[in-house]
Amino acid sequence: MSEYDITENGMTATTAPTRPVTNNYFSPKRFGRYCSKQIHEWKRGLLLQFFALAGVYALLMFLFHSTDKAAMTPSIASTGIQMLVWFGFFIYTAKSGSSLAEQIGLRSKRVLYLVVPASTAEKYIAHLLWTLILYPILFFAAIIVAQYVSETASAAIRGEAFNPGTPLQGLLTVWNDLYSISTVIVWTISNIVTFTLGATLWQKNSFLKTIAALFLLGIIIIFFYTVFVGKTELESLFTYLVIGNYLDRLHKIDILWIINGVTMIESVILGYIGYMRMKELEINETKR
Amino acid sequence: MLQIENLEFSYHKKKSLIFDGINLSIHPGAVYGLLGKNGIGKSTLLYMMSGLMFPHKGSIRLDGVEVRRRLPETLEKIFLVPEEFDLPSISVDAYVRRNSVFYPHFDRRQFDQYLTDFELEKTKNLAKTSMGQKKKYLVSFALATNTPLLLMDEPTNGMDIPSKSQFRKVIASGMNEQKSIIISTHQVRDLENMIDRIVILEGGRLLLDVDTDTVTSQLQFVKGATEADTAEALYKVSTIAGYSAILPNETGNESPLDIEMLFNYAIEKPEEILRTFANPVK
Repeated sequence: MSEYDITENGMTATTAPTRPVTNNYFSPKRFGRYCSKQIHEWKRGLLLQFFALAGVYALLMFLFHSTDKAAMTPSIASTGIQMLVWFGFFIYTAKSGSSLAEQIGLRSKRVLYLVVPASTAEKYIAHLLWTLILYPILFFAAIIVAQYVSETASAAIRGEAFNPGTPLQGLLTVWNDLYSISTVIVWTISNIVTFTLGATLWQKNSFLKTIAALFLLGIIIIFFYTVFVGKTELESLFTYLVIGNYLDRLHKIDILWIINGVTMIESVILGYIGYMRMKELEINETKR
Repeated sequence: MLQIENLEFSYHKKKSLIFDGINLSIHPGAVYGLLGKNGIGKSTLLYMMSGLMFPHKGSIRLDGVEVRRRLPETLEKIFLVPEEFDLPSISVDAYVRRNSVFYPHFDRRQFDQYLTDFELEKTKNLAKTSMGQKKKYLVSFALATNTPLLLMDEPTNGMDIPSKSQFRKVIASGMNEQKSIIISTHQVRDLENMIDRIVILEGGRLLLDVDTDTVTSQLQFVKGATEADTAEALYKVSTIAGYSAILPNETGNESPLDIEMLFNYAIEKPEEILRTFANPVK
């Protein structure tokens, strides 16, 4: 009798399928199955998030609308709303990066997360893919819905002319030049990777703890910078690099490209650390 | 199939070892009862067997591969039913469709049969069921995956009395020669008439690792005996109906195994039970 041919109780004849050589690191088929499983398990939550985002932004746009007496400009095109949308976008992507903690925070959830027969790379890439692609799509789709809902409400309640503007009006100006596009993408990736790493470090209140850690890191950098800038040697180096002839030769936009490049390298490093932490993730025996 | 060698582990460096050089082999075709007092490390051992915790020393290999690597080909050979778990807010059918694809030998007809045995509905939303029902759904799914190694941590916790007998029936019908099932529990009576091999953890070591046939061929379990009948008893306790005792089996007639008595005997007289089974501490 070959392996798994028949069950003891004779209930079912289960023929062992011919199995291809298992790729233990990344298999597109298994990755697809894993993504499909996650989407189905989260769809209710995602739908709720979508409606919550659309509702909040519709309200904000409705309120902002009253500042434009002539109702000539759709709410979404106002500077205030544009700032709130981008601020909300970065908070939302950071929060979605932290959402990994919800899957691995409680032991009861972590067990079932870790035992799914998919590789750590597949689980990690799936998380990054959701936060980098799915959540932003969900966010901007909610903004479009909010845009139309707020304009409809303004027209119905205040009797103003229905003027929704174009979808995401004014928000797409970032696509006008390569630098702006790369900046949005690089900073979104950096944001997600940083908060994902935070989720692997702290599973309780991951989002707040990561913000606190970044804040603390900022203070430490400022403190050391302030202390060391007084030293003659470092001052000379700083003068040479920043104020002196070296960086002077670079165009301002080149410096910004360098910043984006450095941010990308930092994202790769943080992403790798996050992945390694996921690989070493264990169950906390909290009974003890 | 599963090989544990020189396993050492402790939660804190300064504290004593939870596992102090454990060796254990799990072979297919048997139901193992993993017994031990509360907090002795039964769950920890199951987590280690499934690659969710890592040993400090020693190794745990499934078919020669270290389980701590959590390779997909290893994970699809193991199914763990934890003591506490959350199931997603989706229907039973959706859960099965999305999760069964990871287990190459999953059998939907078996799963449906187990649901019938447990008297469970097939259309329920998993998140809206009680803990006992969740356990029954997961046990049904676990058995239907037909993984060679099935680990269950306190599976009967949260189950009512009829469910416990249904559980025995389902385990018996889901067992075959290719599977090993390890059931960890401190409710030893729940395992009666179900296990083939008893493993008792005590003091960081395996106190006992013996099959039930060996136990009943060497020991006799008597109930309602008089004091005179139990004069030669290895272990006895007084009950309302007289004495329950463990005697050396000198007649060769096998008596029904009383796991609770055996467990208490092992815990209270570890040296004696080791001598009885001539099984040196591993």
